[in-house]
This record gives sequence, structure tokens and C-alpha cells, in this order.
Amino acid sequence: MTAPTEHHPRLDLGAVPQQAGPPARAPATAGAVRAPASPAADRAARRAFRPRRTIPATIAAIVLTLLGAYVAAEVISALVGRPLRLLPYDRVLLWGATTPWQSPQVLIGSALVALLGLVLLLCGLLPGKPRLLPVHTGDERLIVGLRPKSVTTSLTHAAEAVPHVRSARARLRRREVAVAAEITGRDKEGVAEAVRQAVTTKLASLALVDPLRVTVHSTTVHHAERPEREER
Amino acid sequence: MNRTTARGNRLGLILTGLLLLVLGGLALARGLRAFPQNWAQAGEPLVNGPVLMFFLVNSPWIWWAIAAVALILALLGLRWLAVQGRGDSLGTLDVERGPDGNTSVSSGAVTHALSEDLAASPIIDDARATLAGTRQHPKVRLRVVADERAPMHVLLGELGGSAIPRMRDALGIDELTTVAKIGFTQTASSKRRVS
Repeated sequence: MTAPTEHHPRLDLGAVPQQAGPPARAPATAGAVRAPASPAADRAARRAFRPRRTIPATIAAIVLTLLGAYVAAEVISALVGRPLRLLPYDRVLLWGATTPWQSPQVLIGSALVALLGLVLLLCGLLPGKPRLLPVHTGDERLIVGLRPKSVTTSLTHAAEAVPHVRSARARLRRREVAVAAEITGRDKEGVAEAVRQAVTTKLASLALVDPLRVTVHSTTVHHAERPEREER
Repeated sequence: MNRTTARGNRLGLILTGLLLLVLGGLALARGLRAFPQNWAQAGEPLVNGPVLMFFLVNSPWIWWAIAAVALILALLGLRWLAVQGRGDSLGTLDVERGPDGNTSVSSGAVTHALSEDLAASPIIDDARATLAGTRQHPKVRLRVVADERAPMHVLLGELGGSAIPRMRDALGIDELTTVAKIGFTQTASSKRRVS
């Protein structure tokens, strides 16, 4: 049932999408195409790539299982007359009968329990970092996400392609892309602005559902320190 | 792993967190004399006379109740743990259902065709497809490695414009959702520092 492979459109790899054009589901031609706005599709994409919180959930589940199993084993074994005594709970009882609520041990212990609770609560409530950055597709049946690492690499390359940029590094923050660029030459502000423009353009071409702000932090590197490689 | 697990994880974490926060907070409050001292003294030991009396009066059923609650918690924990690895991949897919029986295709055949179809594109370096979801609501999971220079609209055109509709047609399932995870090929920057 292999579908025949049709011809693939000629690509203009440098092309940047312009404003709204024909719908994305039309065969991609060399012209600029942008997915039509579809809030439902965007919502579906955001939902699909929400973090799953596997690590805190796994830890909590293991602790819950062990604790429940231990208590059940001790209590049931004692009830049927063959106490396991995996832990010396007589001594724990003695400690409990002699230690007041205001003792430092109890205070520290309860503070730690409350803190742990707060951490778990925040793990569950905070939106967290999405595993992939959702992309506009305009189609609820097509959910597309970009790997964050790929996005930062691609933006780094866009920044590095700007003349007078010796090296650059893009990082993803919550709602922003922070670009650190090493610049040569005198026009620091002009180059920084060019970097911002290049990264913004590249970002626009990625068609992410959630917009990211671009900030550029530039440092000037003098020729004497490290000779700049020749521009292409 | 599916979205139900993600929702379950959130709920489990919120409930466990709330319980610990409330218990720890109350114990801390009692130790710090936040409660009226004629009602809950901070100087009282954790296990005092009334606590011992409570267990003596209600023994042994209170112990059975504790054991039951502990068992339930352990089972809940086990279940919570078990769903972490729950995938929702699908072995076969029903293409046609009729009175004479169902026609089904193996998911390997479907996904192999799609992967091949996509990998033939000049801007896609690698594509792997798997079928997931339920037989009633199947979906396709795609892992695509694409050329980073390719504009997104061209890439989306490759996916949604040709390969996926072809598969929908071939399977006769119009409502086939595709979840694609896209990464870019690691290419060297045009201007790399050599030092």
C-alpha cells in the first residue's frame, strides 16, 4: 500500500514566509505560504506538548508505594500475631511519647514535610517548560512541535550569519530568546540590531504558536585579542 | 505515554503535595504555639494520653482500618507507577469494518510507507512514524529530522500537503491526527570559530 512518491517542489531554501497566503494544506510551492490562523489547532498543539512531569510523579509514586506497603505489612503482621518489626517501632513510640511538639526535631521535620508538599504542589500547578515548541499549522489534525535545541541552534546560526558577528549563542527562556553575541568592529549597536533583526526573521519563519521576544546581549571583541576570521 | 497520564501526574502531585503541606503546616503550627494553648499545647508530647486512649478504645478495628488505608495507598502508588511507562502504540489498524469482518493492516506497513514517503523529500533527512492512540481514534506519531534552512511553511507543506493526506486516503480515515516532532539536522554554522 505504499503510496507513490510524487515530485517534490523545488525549494528556495532562503525564502522567508510573508503574510497570509494560500492555506498550508495546498501543495507547497516556492511561493510564500503561511498557515491560516486556527486557535483550535494552536490549542491542540500547546496541549500536546505540555510537560508530563514524569520524574516527580515517579518519585512520589515509588515513595507512596513503599510507605503504604510498609505500614500495611507491619500492621497486618502485628494483627495476625506475627509482627515483622522491620523497624524498631517500639523505640519510635517511646520517642513520640517523650518528645513535645515544640522540640526542634519535630519543628524541623514538620517544616521539611510542608516544604516537600509545597514543592510537589508547585510541580503539579506550574505550567512548566513544554517539551517541544508548538508550531502554527492551521490544521487541528496536524500537530507539529519543534525541539527546543533545534530552535536555539537554528537561531544561533542566523545570528552568526550577520557580518561582524564572531560568535553567537541563543538560549530559550520562558517567553524570550536571549542571544549573546561577540561582535567585532566599532558599530556595536548597529550590529546588535542586525542580529536582533536576523534572529527575529528566522523566528518568524519558524511560525511558533507562542511568540518569543528577542533580546541581544553583545560584547565587543577587539581585533588585537583574537583575530577575526575573514568574512565570507 | 499519553495525555491521560500527564493529567493523572498533575492531579497526583497536587493531591500529595496538598496533603503533605497541610500535615506539615499543622504540625509546625502546633509546635510554634499557633493554636490556643488550652486546646493544643506545644509542650505536650506527640503521643500523649488521649492519643494512646484513642487507639486503646478503638482497637483492634482502628488497626485494620489503618492497614486498609495503607494497602489502598500502596496500590494507588503502584498503579501510578505503572502508568508512567504506558505507551499508546497500536499494532494493527482497522481499515474497513463490515458485516463480513474487519480489514486491518499492520501498523508497521502503514508507518513504513509514510516514513519512506517523507524521507524522499529533499528537505527531510530522516522520518520515523509510529501509530498510536486507540483503534477507534488512531493517530500518527512522527519524528522528523529536517534541514534547518528549509522554511517552516515548506516543511509543513511536505507533511500536511502531501504525505499525510496520501496516507489518510490510503487508509480511508479522514480524522487521522498526526503529531510531529521536528528536529533540525546538526549543520555547522557558516562562520565557525576554529580556535
